[in-house]
Parts: sequence; C-alpha cells; structure tokens
Amino acid sequence: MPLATQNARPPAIYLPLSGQQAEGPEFILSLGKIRRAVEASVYWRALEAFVRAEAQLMEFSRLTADWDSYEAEPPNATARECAAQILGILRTSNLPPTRVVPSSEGGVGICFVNGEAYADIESLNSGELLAVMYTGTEEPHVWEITQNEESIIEAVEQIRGHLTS
Amino acid sequence: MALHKHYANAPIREALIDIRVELLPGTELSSLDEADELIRVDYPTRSEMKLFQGEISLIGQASASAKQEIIGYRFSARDGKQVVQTRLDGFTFSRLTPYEHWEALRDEAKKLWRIYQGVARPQKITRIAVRYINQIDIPLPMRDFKDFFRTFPDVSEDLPQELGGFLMQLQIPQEDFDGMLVLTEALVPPARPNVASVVLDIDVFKISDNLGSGDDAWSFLELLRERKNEIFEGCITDKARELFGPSVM
Repeated sequence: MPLATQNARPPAIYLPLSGQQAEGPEFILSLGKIRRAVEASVYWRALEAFVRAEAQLMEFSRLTADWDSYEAEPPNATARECAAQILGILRTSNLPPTRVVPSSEGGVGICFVNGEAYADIESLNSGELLAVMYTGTEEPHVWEITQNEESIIEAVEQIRGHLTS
Repeated sequence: MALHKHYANAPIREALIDIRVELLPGTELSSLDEADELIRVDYPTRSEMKLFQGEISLIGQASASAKQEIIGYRFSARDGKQVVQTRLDGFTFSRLTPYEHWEALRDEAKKLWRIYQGVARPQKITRIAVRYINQIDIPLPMRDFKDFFRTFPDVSEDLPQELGGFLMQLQIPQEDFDGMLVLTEALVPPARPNVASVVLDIDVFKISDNLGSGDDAWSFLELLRERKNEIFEGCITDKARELFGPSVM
C-alpha cells in the first residue's frame, strides 16, 4: 500500500469503552438497554401500544360468525377500517388504548382504562360510532360520534379529560 | 455547524431530562408518596411503574418464577403532554409534542426536580441525560433515505436496496466530557398515509460519581443540550430540514 494512502487512513472506528462510559459494553446488554430506553419514553411506549392495537385489529378479520359462541357477528371491513382511522387519530393525539376488542354487538371496541375510569369508542358494523364513559358503578354516558376527523378528535379529548379527571 | 435552530415544525415527539440518583440505603417507596400532593396539582394522573423479573431454573426439576416490584410513579398532566416519573433510582421529565423550547422544558423539569429532591433526598446524582426523540415523516414517493439522513445503515450494493424496516443503535463516546451518545434510528409504522416515518432517538448522557447533587448537574445539562443539537444537525440533510419549515437561530 502506498505510504500516502496509509497516512490517509481514517482513524479506527472502534473505540474500546471504559466500563463507566459504557454501562456494560457487551452488545448483548444493549438489548436490555433498548428495552429500558423504550420503557423510559412515553413516545416509544405509546408507539408499542399502537403497533399492538393495529395487530389485534388485523386479527379480527379472521373471526367467523358466532366467534363468542353467543352468535355475535365478526367485525366487518367497515368497522375495521373505521377503527384503524381512529387508531391513527389516537396516535396523533398521543392517547394509546388499553386494548382493542371485537364487540359482541358486531364491530370493534377501542377501550381505555385508568383506575376506576373507563371509556371506549365502538366502531360498529353498521358504520355507526359510539362513545361510552363511566367511572366505577356510575351510570354510563353514551353518545354518538359523527364519522369525521373533527368529531373523533373531540371525542378523544373528552375521553382524555374523563380518564385524567 | 448551525446550533440552536428552532424549526417551525420541529419533528420532536418527546424531549426528556433524566437524572439517576443514589438514595440513602433503605429508602422506601413510601418516601416518594410525600411528593404526591405537590406534583398532582398539575399532574393529576398517577400510575405505578413496575419492574418485572423472571427466573427460569433448570437445576433439578425445571421451574419458573416471576415477581413484580413497584419502582416508582408516573404522573401525567391533564392534556397528557407532560409526564414526570419519580422513582427510587431517579427522576425523568418528558415533554411530548408540541415541543415549545428548551427553556420551558428545563424550567418545568427543574421545578419538579426540586419537589423530588425534597422528599427523596438523593445522596448523589449518578447519571444525567438529555434525550430527544424525533419522528421524521418523509413524504412518499422518495428516492433514497440518504437524501434525508447523513447517519443511516449502509446496505451492500450486492443486496436488494428496498428496506422493509430497520433498527440501528450506535453508542458513540463523547470523549471531551467523558460521556456517551446512544443514537437509535428506526423505521416505524407510518404516522399517516403516504409517508415513511423514521425515528431518530438521541440520548446524550454522562455517568459519574461526581455530578454533584443539584446545581452543578443543571449547568451540565446545558452542555448536553448543545451536544444534542449538534448531533441532530449532524444526522440530517438540508432536504430533511426543508420538512421542518423555516428556522430561527
């Protein structure tokens, strides 16, 4: 190798780390650190919850009639597509659901739980959207949501307020 | 290198100030409860932070056990945009989108830190970090991620170039202050149709037994913040900057 080329070599890109800097330099420990870094972040935890919710939603396309053995209809494409749209809005609003479930009424339920406070948005096979909120054993407050972004955002903020009150 | 740029549409999804501490031996979780009333004025929703630990034993008859332990609390503001964690091993303050500016982040974190410090009485600070999680939504169609990113996984030309996903983590020592950058870059599910969303998670920190117990650490955060800005600007191209709108210095 010509000397000029040798001199032009970039510096080594591997720099051995002292234990103090590295919090454990072994690569395998990085996997645990990635997990802890996710846990420490509200953003990453929410993203994880949304990915899980979207995966659950996709699973519902495999449900067949009488999936609950009480003759419930499986969520149809209308309900699933609308639920996917709501999940997108929830992601932008940074309000991850606690779980996504098929509804025995025929549709998809996007549920939120915080202690005694409960809320859900139900995307029904008929195309209707319903929201429900209650705390403990109190009477549920139920209302219909118009299927447009503004109305869904408004309902999401109402639910957030309910969960944090 | 341009520093302290403030973009009109900054891609910051979460900004964190994280301080790890060592408490007096034997300090119990109940000591953190004393901060509840003060924190809950602006952060009314409290949830427990749990640590799950599992163990599988293959000695003799195989057995598995798991236990969970509460390590602290997470408090959220009414609008969900600010979150504070108080734990037995430290304190974290998060600001979610829309991000305002550093001074607002720092001052709110400092106010909450004072409350935490008052009840937890940390013996010393052992780690201090500034972490910014950016989500950059690139409009589709696009030609190449490298039109937007200057730090990006290199795929051999002998392999197909289409990426279905990636997760890259770089640990880059910051020798001048004996610290570390952990840069995590990942393709995540798109935030909306017709974009590709890439997360740039910049975690700059220092671990030391000499970080002081208060004001010194807060001065040091300013340096970490400057370094974070340099790293962010060093990771992106002008084409990415165009996505964030006009900037002011």
